[in-house]
Amino acid sequence: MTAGVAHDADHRRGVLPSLLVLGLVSVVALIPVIVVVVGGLDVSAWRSVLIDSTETHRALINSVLLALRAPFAAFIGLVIAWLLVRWPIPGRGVLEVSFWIAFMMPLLPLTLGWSLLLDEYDGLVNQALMMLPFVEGPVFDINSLRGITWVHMTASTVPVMIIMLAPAIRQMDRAQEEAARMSGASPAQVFRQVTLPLLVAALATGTMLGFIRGLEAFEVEQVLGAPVGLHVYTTRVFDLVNWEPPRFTEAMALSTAVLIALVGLAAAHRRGLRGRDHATISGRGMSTGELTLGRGRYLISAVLFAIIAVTVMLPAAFLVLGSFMTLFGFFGIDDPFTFEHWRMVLGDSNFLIALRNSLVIGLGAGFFGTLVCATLAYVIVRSALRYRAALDFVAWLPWCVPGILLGVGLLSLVLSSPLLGFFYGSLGLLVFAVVISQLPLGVNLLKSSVSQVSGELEAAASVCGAGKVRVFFEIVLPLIRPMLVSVFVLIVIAGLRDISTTVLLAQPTTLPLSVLLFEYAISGAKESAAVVGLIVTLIILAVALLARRAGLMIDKPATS
Amino acid sequence: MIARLILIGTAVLGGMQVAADEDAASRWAELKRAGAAEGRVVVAGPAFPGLRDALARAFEEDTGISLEWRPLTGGPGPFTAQLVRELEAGAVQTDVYIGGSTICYSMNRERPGTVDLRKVLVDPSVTDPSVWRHGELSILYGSPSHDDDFWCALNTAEWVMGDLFVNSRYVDPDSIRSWHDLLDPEYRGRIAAHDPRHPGAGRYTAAYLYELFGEEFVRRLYVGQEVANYRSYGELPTDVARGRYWIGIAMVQAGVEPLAKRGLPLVRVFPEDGPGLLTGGFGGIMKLRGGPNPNAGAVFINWWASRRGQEVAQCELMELSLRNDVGRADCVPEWARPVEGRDYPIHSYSPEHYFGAFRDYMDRLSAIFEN
Repeated sequence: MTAGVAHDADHRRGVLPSLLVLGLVSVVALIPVIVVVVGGLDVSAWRSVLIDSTETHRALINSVLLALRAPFAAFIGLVIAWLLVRWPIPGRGVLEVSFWIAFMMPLLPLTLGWSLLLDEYDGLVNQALMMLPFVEGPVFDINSLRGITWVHMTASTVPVMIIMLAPAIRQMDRAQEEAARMSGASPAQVFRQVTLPLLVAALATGTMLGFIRGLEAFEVEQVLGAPVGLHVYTTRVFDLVNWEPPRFTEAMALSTAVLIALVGLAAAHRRGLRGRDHATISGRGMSTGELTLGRGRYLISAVLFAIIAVTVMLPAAFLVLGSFMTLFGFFGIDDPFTFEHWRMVLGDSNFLIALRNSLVIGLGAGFFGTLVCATLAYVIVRSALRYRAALDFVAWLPWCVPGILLGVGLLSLVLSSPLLGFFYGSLGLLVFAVVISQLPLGVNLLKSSVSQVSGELEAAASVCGAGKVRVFFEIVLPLIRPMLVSVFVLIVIAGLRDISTTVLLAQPTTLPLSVLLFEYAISGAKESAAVVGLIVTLIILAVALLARRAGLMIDKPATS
Repeated sequence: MIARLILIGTAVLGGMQVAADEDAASRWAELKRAGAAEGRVVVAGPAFPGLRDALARAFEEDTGISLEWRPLTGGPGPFTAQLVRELEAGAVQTDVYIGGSTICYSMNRERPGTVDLRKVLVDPSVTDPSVWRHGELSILYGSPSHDDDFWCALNTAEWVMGDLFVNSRYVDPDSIRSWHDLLDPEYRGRIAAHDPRHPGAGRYTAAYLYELFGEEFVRRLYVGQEVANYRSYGELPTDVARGRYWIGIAMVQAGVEPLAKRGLPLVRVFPEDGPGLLTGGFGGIMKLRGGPNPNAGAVFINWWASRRGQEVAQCELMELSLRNDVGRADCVPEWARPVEGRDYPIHSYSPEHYFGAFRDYMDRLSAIFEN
């Protein structure tokens, strides 16, 4: 009886702090989403935007069509990652770093580079092809579904898949592949009959993540699609919010509908993974080395270097060229090149303000976000708090909230709440937005890192009298430092390149470089956009290379 | 005796005038001091490259106040939408708005969003009616939240809208004699316009076409010919010059001229059945309620309306100033200057038009474009 009472008392004591932590995280991570959902609770808005509007129907169809690139990107990413990890390809280290850099690079500047090459009317590739006797009209059109898909595939989706799938391949037992090879199977047969079946789960995860991220894409679609009336769900939301008078209720209704679909997809995927055996590492001792390959490795290396040259170097080079063009894309005018846009941008006080803002947002989100993510990861993995699973779910939920929707939610929140009015127009709001958007990635990476730290070390510290906070700061954090720094770098880069989350929140005094670049791009000042884009790219590359030089990345590179 | 009385009366009146002038001058000096103490002003305006730079440089040189620019990249709609929410939250971030003056009515639609310019315009060189082209300041009176004598916006320019342009590489400018020529099936999918669903040049041009030719024409043109809608004043002429579209409707000179000067084939066409539309363009200015720098905002508005401010604005926006003493008319392209003696059926910024026919057209146009 007494034991039962004591247990109940413990139970009650445990419930309160658990609820407090859960409530706090929910407030931070979910309130902007709840604001959107509540704001969209209007039957007439649902009807007008979802049922009656053909524009919305077209936008939703386009979103799905564009997101369907995910399985193709996952497959291409898997093949490239497998080649890089498993085969002794010359220059493999350089290749892997190159794909890592491509993964880090901001999308919009590369989009500008591609538009110089593949514009239907002035694109240099089209002009060159049309000189051929058998080509009559333009072959490529960057302002189309195909063009947008190409930009995403080359600049983002495939590199992301490579970075994501490489660790899974690296951890896979090589013995089965070796056995197949020794039995006379060709590399293609090994891949098809051994590697692929073993990595189906990783491939499915990559595809689902890519599909959901594809539905959330914004800036490339706005810059390339909107001028020709090609809208996707996110640009339609942007359009509705920017209507005069604004159609917030419809924007929120549309956002809510898509959010339900995204959460449903992601939850179904989580559920699908649960309970299945996806083990690629067995307990029999494991071989993770390389397979042998003849001269074909030189050919594969050349092909991969060519892919990097075409998909990363080429648009980057044309971005540089574009920044010196008198009129972006017009090569045929007198004096097509000038330094004028560099002079104008660098002499513009708005640029310096934006540069400072970007650094504050990136570094602020990096420090604050890393601390929050580490704390949450520790609580989820180590604490005895109840509702940890719910906490884990809440911390993961912003992952399927598109940036533009998060921006709408935060904007509505700070402008409708008298207590939060001071937050509006401050850099703190932008830092906060970036932290929320990066919460899922940071928490998940740090969860895996915290799990690797033996509980005995913390127990020993506790026995010696250290409190939980001290254990966290003096034992756990130093032990997971490499991953902490990796998460920090990832959040800093996300803060530097983010557009969709911050575009509705930024004010003249808080405008970051990424939004300045976006504003230049959509207002027809693409020359200035190219200048700012190049500067943003260089800053991000510097951060990424510094991090890489310090050996900081999620996955260790292959040694060549 | 009578002569003495007249003399005394004249002296008194003259003294009063001198006192009033001195009072106005001292108020203006006091305002400049207060504005300089605030040190900065946040101005929202059209997103044309170079405009911010030119205004900031000249304004800072004249007043010592630094100018922070908020470019209206998505047009005035997004700004107004945000302003309404900022007003509700008491967190207005911008002091002054430059652009189409009728947007002032939208800003005051739900609650007072702008300040009465009678209290703001104090520089004697601005308030003097004789310096303005029509012998008076061009004020947009009243608002949904104010009385009829409320000074909602000051309009400082007047020009002929760039209703119709063609890319002469694809369309012979002489072949377009009537607006109805645009209904030729050859042009389906080849026409682009500034978006008539949003505030700005596109909406006024669509209303003008509605007035001239009726609803069916507007439907056949915009919907039947699959006109592409642009929000950006910069991208629309660029894509017409590039050849993505052959015909451009409602383009503005600050977007067109940098391309035309580089030899790109953009040619203004004046159809015989549509002589053009008079507009104030981006020359409207208003002071936002609750802005962070109220005095600096007021200084900027007086400066903008001064000779110096108008010279900068006229050359950057390429819109003919309403001030008589502003030179450099050569900054404004020939096609945008009103032709003496020509009858323009609509002045888009006249309250009669805005509150009369324009409102009716808007309701009808919304129905056309939404379906």
